[in-house]
Amino acid sequence: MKCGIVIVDTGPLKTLAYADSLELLLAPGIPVHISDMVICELRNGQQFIGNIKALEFIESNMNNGLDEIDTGVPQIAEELRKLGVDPGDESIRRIIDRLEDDSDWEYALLVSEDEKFMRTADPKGQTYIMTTRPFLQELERRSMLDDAEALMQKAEAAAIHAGETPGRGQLNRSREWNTPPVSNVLVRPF
Amino acid sequence: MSNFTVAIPDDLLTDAKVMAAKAGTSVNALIRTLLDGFVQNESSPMSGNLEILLKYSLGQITPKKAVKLLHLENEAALEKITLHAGFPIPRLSLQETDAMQKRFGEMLDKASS
Repeated sequence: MKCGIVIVDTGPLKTLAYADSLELLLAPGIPVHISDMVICELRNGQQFIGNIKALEFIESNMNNGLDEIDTGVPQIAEELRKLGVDPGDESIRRIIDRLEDDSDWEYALLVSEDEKFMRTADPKGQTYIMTTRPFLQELERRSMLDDAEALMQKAEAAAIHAGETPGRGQLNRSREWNTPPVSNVLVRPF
Repeated sequence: MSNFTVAIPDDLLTDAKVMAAKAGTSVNALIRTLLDGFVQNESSPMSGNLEILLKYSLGQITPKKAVKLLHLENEAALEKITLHAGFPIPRLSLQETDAMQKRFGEMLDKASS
C-alpha cells in the first residue's frame, strides 16, 4: 500500500526554499511525490533563487525519498493553453483521478498553496488537501522543527525582499509562462 | 470656548482628578483631549485603499474584488501591497488548518505503525 505527500503546485517548494528549509519535506520519512508540471514550472522560472534551490533539492533527492509523478501534461502544455486550459490545473486533475482510481494508494496528502485549487478541489476517498502551514505545525508538534510560525515569517520576509529588488517587476503566474518573471512575490505562506 | 456641564460618577471623577494630577494636567484638559481624539477618529476613518486591504486581509472580500477595487493588475500585486501596508495575507481559518494538521498527524502515525 502506498501513502505519501504529493506536491501539486510550486508554492510549498518556494515557501520552504525561501525559508532555507526544503529538507523538512523529507523529515517525516514518508515518500514525497512531485508533479512533473511543478518541476516544469520551476524550470521556467530559474531566474529566481527559490526556483533554483527547489530544483537543486529535487535533483539531489530524486529516487531517494522523493520522486516525480508523470502526468504527461508538460508535453501538451502549449496545446492546452491554446484551448484555454491551465496546464497546472490539468496536471492536478490527472493526479487526483489517478489517486482515486489506484487502489494501491492508501493515503495521500496533496500539498498546495494555490488558492483556486484550495477552493475548488474536492478529492475523494483517502486523498486530502493540506497547505504548508499545517505541515510545518505538525512537524513542530513532533519536535522535528523548533518554530513553524518563525519559519513561515522567514519565508514571507524573503518573499517581500525578492519583490522589493530595485528595477524588478512582479511575478504573475500566467506571465511566468509567456514572459518569464524577474522577481517572485507569489509565495503564499498560509 | 464654551462651557459644558457633564454628570460624572463621584468615584470616577476622584480617580480622574488623581490621574490628571499625575499626568500634570486637569480633568478639563483630559476630557477635551479624549473628546478630540474620539471626534477625529470617528470623522477620519481609515482611507479607502487601506480599508480595502484590511478587508481583504481579514477575508471579508475576495482577492478578485480587492484587485478590482484597487485597480491592480493582478493578485500578486495585491499580495505585495497588502504586506507593504502591514497587513497579513489572508490565511485559512484555524479550524481548517487544525483539521489539516490532524489528518497529516494521522497519516504519519499510520505510516509509522
